[in-house]
Amino acid sequence: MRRRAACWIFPLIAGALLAACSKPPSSSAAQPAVASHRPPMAQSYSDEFHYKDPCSLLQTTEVEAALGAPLGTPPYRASNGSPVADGPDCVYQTAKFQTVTLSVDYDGGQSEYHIGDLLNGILKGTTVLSDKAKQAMVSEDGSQITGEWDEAKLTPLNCCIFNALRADQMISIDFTGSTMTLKAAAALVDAAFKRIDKPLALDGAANVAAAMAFLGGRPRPMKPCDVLSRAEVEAIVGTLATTPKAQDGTCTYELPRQPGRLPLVYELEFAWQGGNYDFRQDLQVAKMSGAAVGGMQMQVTTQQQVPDRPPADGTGARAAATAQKSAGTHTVTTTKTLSVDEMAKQMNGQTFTQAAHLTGAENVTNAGPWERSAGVGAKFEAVRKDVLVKVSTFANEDKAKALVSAAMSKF
Amino acid sequence: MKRCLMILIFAGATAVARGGTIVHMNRTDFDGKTRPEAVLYAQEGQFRMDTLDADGHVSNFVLVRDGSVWQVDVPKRTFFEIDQAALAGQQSQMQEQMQAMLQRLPPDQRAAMEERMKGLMAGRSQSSLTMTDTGKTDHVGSWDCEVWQVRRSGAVSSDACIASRGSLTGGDELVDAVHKAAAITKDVVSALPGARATAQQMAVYGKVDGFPVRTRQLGSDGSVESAETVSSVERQSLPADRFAIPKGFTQTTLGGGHE
Repeated sequence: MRRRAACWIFPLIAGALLAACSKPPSSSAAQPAVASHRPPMAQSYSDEFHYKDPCSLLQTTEVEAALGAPLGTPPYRASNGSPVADGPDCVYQTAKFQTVTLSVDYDGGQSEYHIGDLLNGILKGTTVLSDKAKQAMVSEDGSQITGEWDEAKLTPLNCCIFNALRADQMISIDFTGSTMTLKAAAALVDAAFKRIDKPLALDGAANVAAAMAFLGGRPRPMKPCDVLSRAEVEAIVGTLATTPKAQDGTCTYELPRQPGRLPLVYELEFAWQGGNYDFRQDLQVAKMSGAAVGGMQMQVTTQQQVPDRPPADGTGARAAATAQKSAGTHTVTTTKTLSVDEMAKQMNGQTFTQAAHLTGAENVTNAGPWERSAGVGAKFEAVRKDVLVKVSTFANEDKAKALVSAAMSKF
Repeated sequence: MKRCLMILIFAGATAVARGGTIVHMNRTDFDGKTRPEAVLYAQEGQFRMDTLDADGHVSNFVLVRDGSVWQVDVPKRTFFEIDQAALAGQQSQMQEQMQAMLQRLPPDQRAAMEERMKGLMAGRSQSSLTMTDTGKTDHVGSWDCEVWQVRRSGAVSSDACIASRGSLTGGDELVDAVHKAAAITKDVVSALPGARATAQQMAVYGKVDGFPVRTRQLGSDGSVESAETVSSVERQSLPADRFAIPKGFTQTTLGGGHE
């Protein structure tokens, strides 16, 4: 901490005494109320101290348009997701707790932007990033993403953190916790850069108290096996073999074992906060896994017996000579290079990534009490009020979904 | 009508005459770099001192008015009152923390630490502070000033070049507000056992009939470690809210807890 002013007036107040006061607020440091005078509060709001506010770069309406839903609380300043008046981020949250976070480095952006370069370089040398991910500045619809920046990129290993750098200023937008598209998110960053020198009169610090009240309305976390009673579960899946077992955020329901068959269990897993974020990340991981496996190339050799045809000319005679002759027929050997996805589609009418729920796509037709849902690998996942519920679908997919539906009716 | 107009003109002139004073101060570090450090506002006995960050934005300010001292943390949007009870509570909390820390030390280290702390406390309570006019004059910016030395326990710790109130724009307003603020601060800190020197300091400042246009922190060898210099003084009628806690800020206590 730099030395405070040795100003003639209050050397001690500015120094020794207040040094003890400069620690950050914490509940453990709370003191009893000791103020003996009524604070001389200003009569009106002033913008005297309003600067470097990440919430002053975007109109609420333009964020709502990008989210496709109205905000549940005015944009607020935050740090690591928690509302704090001097936070470096601005959080935009819909009434259903979908979240987008805008972070602004007013200076020092160059070093912040290049922190991930080494990791990016390593990943580009591997197959971890899909070709589409490597071409980060192409939007979902294939159009080129451009804006008021010198350079831009996506944070590696994450679908939805877009970083843009202009001179030494960096703006990042993390839209993982929402359904926002990259194209819409990049447009918001573009708009933010255009306002950075003439910000709006929006004060994100003033909205912190409202945000805390809003977040207090989130579903309260419950023990995983307390969400549904045993009777409720048995009404869906049948009689259980044992008492439901809770571990971390998961409740396991085990069915009676059938002789010679694998044990059947339903694992119901809850994430009470950041459900939208985790859901989109799960989809991204699934998509990357699907691309890695489904895109694997393999050589497929087929041999087919075809009837002999009389040669029409000399070239036909040479072609016929390469085939293995038999009585009236010959064998034609064909070698093709196919991806796992193409091969699976030829065999089953569905690609491998589709069949294994590794496309990364949300299921838009699967109606339920949830706001978002998808099959992700061997699980069904759904989000409601930012609570993510996952269930294993191995035993019975319909009953697994019914469990999620029943659980979601509880919050 | 004419009489009313005259009254209005007179009232306006009075308002201007009773306007506030703004003092801008720069800091020069030992590396020679100078940057804005603080802004002082004084008006009708009310006083505010802003501390600026590297970008020139206000990081915090101290407000002295109506017999109270308030500290405002601008980035955190919080404020608290500095009064005797709060300071005593803070000091007591620090002592408790220190005792808890000492209890965790091995006996020999604890004894050595306790001995050192005793010496430190004794030094604090016995240290004296004096200010003397060196009889020298200097020139800082556009002001002529007299050089005073501050001695702490006999050793010169800093010096100040004090311009007379008459030579400063709004000097009367400024010096009166400083005197008042120094008196309030002296009262607030006087109850603290370890703040005897500060109380003395406040008493001395309250007697200086001028304003320091330059203060310098001196090393033990007399070298200048840093200097704060007045860069400009303006006279301006200031809105009442300039001497208030901004609307929307939250009250906390000295330790940072919310009230």
